Parts: sequence; C-alpha cells; structure tokens
Amino acid sequence: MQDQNKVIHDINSSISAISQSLSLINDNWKNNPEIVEKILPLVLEKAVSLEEQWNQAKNIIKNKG
Amino acid sequence: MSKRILNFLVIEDDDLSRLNLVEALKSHGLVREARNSEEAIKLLNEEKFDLAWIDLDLEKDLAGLDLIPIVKSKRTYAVVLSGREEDTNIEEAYKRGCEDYLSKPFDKDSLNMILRKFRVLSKESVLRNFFANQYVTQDDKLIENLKVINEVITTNKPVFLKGATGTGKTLIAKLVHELIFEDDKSFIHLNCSEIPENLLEAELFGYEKGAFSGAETSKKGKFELADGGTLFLDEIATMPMVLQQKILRAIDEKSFYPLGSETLVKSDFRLVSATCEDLEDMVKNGSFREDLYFRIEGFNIDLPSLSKRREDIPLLIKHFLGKGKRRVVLNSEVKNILNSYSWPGNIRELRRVVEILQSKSHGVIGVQDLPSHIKGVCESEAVVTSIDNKLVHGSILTKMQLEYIQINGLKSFVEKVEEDALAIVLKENDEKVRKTLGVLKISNSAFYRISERRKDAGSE
Repeated sequence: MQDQNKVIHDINSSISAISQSLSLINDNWKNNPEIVEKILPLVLEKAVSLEEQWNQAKNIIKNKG
Repeated sequence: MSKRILNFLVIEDDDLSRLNLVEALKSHGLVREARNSEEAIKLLNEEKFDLAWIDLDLEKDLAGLDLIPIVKSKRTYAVVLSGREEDTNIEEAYKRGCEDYLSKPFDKDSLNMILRKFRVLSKESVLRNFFANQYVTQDDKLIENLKVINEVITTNKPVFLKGATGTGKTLIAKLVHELIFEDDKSFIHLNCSEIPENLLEAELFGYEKGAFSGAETSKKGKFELADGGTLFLDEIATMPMVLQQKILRAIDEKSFYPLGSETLVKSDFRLVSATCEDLEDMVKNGSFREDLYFRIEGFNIDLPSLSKRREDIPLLIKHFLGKGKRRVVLNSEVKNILNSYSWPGNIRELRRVVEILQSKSHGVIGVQDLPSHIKGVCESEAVVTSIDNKLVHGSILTKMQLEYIQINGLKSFVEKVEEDALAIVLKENDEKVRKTLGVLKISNSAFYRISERRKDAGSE
C-alpha cells in the first residue's frame, strides 16, 4: 500500500510539472525563448521519470490482479 | 483593488516543479527559492514572506510537514503542494497549520484562487474595508451570515441574496464581484422588475438585427456582456415563468442563442441573484420554477431589515452624517425619533433622510426638519400639522404619503399600505382571518404573503 501511494504521488507530481511546463512553453515560446530553452531539457527528463513511474504502477496493478 | 508586491517563498526539491511555480508567481510578486528544509529555514529566519509554498516531500518523505509550524511562526501564509492523496497527510498538514492544500496536478486557476483568498484575508482586504466604510453593522447574526462571503472566492457556486428593499443587496453583490475579480471585469446589473416582461428576454439574451419588429441593429444581451465577470439578476422573483425556463440553460451550460440567431454564444459568468420575496414559498405555490431555484442558490445570504437590527440605526446615522462635507448635528429629540422609527425602506431610506437633513440651511437639526411621514409615525397625531394631512390636489394621497413615496419609492409605499391595512382590519375583526379576507377582498395566499412580510419586518 505504501508503495502504491508513493507511486501515485510521484505520477501526480510529474504530470503536474509537465503540464505546467507545457503551459509555460505555450505562453513564452515566441517572446521569451530563453525560458523555453531552460525548461525543455527538464521536461524531457521528467517525461522519462514519468514513464518509469507508470511502469511501476502497471506492475503494482498486475501483481494485484 | 490596490495590489502591493507580495513576497513568496517556494520550497520545492524538484527543479522543474520549482521553476514552473517561480515563473507562475513572478507576475504577482518577488519569489525566493529553497530546495530543502535547511535552505527554507535559513531564508525564513533572514527575510519576511507573505506566502510560503511548501512541497510535502523534500530531502526526505513528508519533511514539508515539519516546515509548516515554522512557516506559521513567522506569520507567513502556508500553502502545501503535494501529489499525495492520502487523507491522513492532508489532515496532518491542516492540523499543523497550513491554510490551503493544493493537490498536484494543479493549474494556474488554482494558484490564482489561493492568491485571491490570501489578499482577501490579509490586512488590506476588501472585506475589512467594506465593513469599515460601506456596510456598517454590529449585528452579530448578520456578521455571521456575511462571513460566508469569504468562501465565495474559492468555488464557482452562485450567490443568492435575500432581503427587503434597501437592505444593501446591490452593495453585497458588488463586494462579491470585487472579491472574485481583481481587475476590471464587467459587473452587469439587471433589475428584472424594472424591465417590461416582453423586453426582458431580449435584454438578457441579446438579439440579431431583424429578430423582431423594431430590432434595427444587433444588440448584445446581459448574459454575453457579463462574460468573464459577474451577472447580478436583481428581483429575480419577478421574472415570468416562460423566461425562467429559458434562462436555465444559459445559467447551467453558460451558453445560449441570442434572439433571431443560430450561433451559440458562450459566456462564463459568476451569477449573483437577489430577491425580497420568499422564493421557497413561491416554489411551493408554483410561481417560481424549482429547478431554477436550485440553480441560483449556492451561497445564500439573508440581509435582515433595519427594524430587526435596531442597534445599527445610530451607527448608520453617524456614518451617513460623516459622509457629507458640510457637517450638521441632530438634537436629541430627532435622534430618539430616528432611532425608534420603523425604517420600512431600510438603509436606502435612512441614507436619503440623512441627506435631506444635511441639506437644511441651519446646522442644528430639530424635529421640524424631519420628513413629515417620519414625524407622523413617531409622534402623537397632535404634532402632525394639518398641512401634512391635507390631500394633494386631485389625488387621494396626503402630502405626508407623497413624501414617503418620494423617499422610499412607490413599491415600498404600496407594501406598507398592504401591511398596515392588514394589521388594522385584522385587529378590528378580532384576528379572524376569514372576515379580514372578505373586508380586504384579497386571496388567502395574498394574506399570508403580506403576513410573512410583516413578520420579516419585525412587526409581529
């Protein structure tokens, strides 16, 4: 149960960070490309983490099922 | 609303989340960052912050919980941000003193909601200013009722105001608007009782050129004009049944078709509605749609009549007297009369009477300066001059009654006549309802409607 809560927490946090970043990129890509340049590598990194977290979640679901 | 620069502290170990939050907050104030508890405590000891945004999981799981009391001890507003959904964590965060808990993922609107709430609760809040300068009251029950306004900003529920004419419904509606919308969003006020029934639909929905005879140009309706702001539907109880059904969709789905148009118009507005009638009763007797009633109620605020909060009368008199540039004083007899008068037109009537007294050429106001309808009610009949009781030429109204109408409006006068007639005839007929109905030639429902109004006004 503890693992499951932790994974849900991590996924929520990653989705939050990625969606906020996309909104930030959307607002700034024309007028403030510096911030976009700064944030994009971090978004890619976070997307990789999210994939790992999702695999963990799938394993938990499979083990339960 | 005047905005001062806010100081934020963002406590977040994740680089991307921290960067996002810092960028989102930059436009609202100065932002400092901490990556862990140690950095946060150092900054909290060195600087003063208005709000701290605390991630629950920092260098170790749930380390943010320990930071909450430290943030609170610095008189900083603590907001927790977390992806944790367990109730135990949320409860613990609130127990330790956080003011708000935002679940990840969250969006800009959630951040803005927290900022609005903080501004309202902070010292420069509109609410404090409002009760200090605009809505003067010491009535505990009313203050308790009005506290719900604090919560209005955190959800999108409609606001429903109930109170007799002159109790300040429009003021409260404007306050709600000011609390929710910090910038110049539109506040659209429509008094449904002032628009003829056949024009109300066009006024609300707008129309296309040629939609009906006389529609020579297209016109936007109140629903559309209120987009992004507040729509205040005053005296909503007077809205015809046919139209009640039509506005349901506009309120529910925030979209509608203007008259003569096939293009759906979307409009996102906060609905505030008001009435002086008992809508629940109207729903029961079928004169108001139940489904509409459930749509417009949400935050329900009852504004009692002035006769039910007499301790506010001297405060309000002092308040309105202080507003005039030219100062006058009331002698003690006038004060006594004004304090004991029933004020059927409520605050609006009181304000107008004070304005009349302020316009007198002398500085000390005596009984002779009072409007005759107030003298007539408060003093013995002997004091009322024969001129006050004379009929206005060609009319059944006395000078006193005409003055009452000029101050309080015709509707208030008619209501007062109904209430007084009912009280007198009922007494003359030994409180027998059936006999009273016969004498007054009114229906059962009219009798109970007037009785209820008398009860609300504190006459019984």
